[in-house]
Amino acid sequence: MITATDFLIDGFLAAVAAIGFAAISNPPKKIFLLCGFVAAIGHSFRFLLISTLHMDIVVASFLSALLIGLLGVLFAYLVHCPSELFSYPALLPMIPGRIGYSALLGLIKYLNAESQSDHLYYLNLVAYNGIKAVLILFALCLGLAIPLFIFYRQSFKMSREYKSTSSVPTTRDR
Amino acid sequence: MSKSSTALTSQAQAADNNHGSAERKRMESLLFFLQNYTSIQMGIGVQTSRIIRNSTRIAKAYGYRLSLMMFQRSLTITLMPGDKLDEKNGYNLPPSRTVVGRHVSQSLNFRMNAELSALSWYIEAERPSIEEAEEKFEEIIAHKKLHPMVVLLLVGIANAAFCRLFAGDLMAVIFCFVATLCGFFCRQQLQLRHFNHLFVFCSASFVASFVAALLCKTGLSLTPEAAIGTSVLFLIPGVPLINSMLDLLDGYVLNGISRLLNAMMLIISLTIGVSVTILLFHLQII
Repeated sequence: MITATDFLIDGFLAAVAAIGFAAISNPPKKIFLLCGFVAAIGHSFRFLLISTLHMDIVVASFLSALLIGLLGVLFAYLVHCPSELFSYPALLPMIPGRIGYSALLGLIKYLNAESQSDHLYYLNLVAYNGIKAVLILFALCLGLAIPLFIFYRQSFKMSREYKSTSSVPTTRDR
Repeated sequence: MSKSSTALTSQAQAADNNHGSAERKRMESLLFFLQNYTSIQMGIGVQTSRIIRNSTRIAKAYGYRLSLMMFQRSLTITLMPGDKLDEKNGYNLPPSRTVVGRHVSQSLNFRMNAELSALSWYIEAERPSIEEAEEKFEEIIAHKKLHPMVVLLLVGIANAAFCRLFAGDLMAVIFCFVATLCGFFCRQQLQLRHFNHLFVFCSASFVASFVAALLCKTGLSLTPEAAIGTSVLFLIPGVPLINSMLDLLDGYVLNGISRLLNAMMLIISLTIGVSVTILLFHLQII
């Protein structure tokens, strides 16, 4: 049975993965832990939805991306960074990479298959994995974009005080 | 007759445009600043709507209007005199200026993304001179990156954690860690030597999956497919994929599609690398 420790472990692993994959893109050092935190919450939320509510992975990805987007906007407001700095690394462990490239691997298998039943099997696999990967990716980005649209003005303003230029007046309204 | 009249007109024009030429110079230097500013943002992985917003904000701060046309490899910027100048200078308006340029190739960089955005807000609030803005820009560009060895270690640990998420056992996690170190090291070294990026992805994925498959040959891991399958996941271009989808949602369809195709090309070359390993070891992964 799934226990609370499973969620904690899932969150921890996702946080480690998010921080590591974000490190390729040279993030500012001060947000390392925070983006790991956002990733942990997002990924374990998806795990929760899939394992207890038996939700479809696409819908679960959409909902957890929504949560990540909201958290990203919140942290952007608190730390004065663009919200992408939190939400992109948090999404990285959820990107359907494995599914995506196994769809492409299936294509190669399909070409090399000998019997017709093998052909059909691999073609089916390609279509299934490909559609799943595209839908998950789209769901993730849609979930991320909705909070950005809701908090449209704020999200572009967040970056204004990054580096804390102390004497920045806040009179401008755009 | 013609000679004297041309001399006369040119003199009159010089007097007329005295202010105009200074203005034109200012416009040109701003235009070149904006060209660098915009093309770097394209390279480091900023979504298109934010790039356009940032650049327009800077142009506005100096009293100009801006039109921007962005493609994956090149961009066109037109700077036009803003409405405020219209009233002040009347007929002495400098004409609009356009620059067409290629993008500077850059690697993804979150820190620069944040600081370049902040720079545009700073310029809007403080209105520094263009030279001063350029100085700040150079400062941001020159900032040091994370040490490559730190990144290597972090990526290795991350991919190992990922392997655990895909239900690999302890030995699979260790194998995946080692394989990732080899693969990412290969990628770093090849990128330093400026190889074609598709070739880099292809060979890095081959090295990573080959090492993982070789280690799994020992039979210590009961879940070899988890180790081999996740060992190449550090190469999945996650940030470009997210950016492409956000561009599509924002309505920058052309940019979105070109970013998506670029990312797809990377995934395809990754798959080629893995499939070589699969053929060599006769693996059944999917």
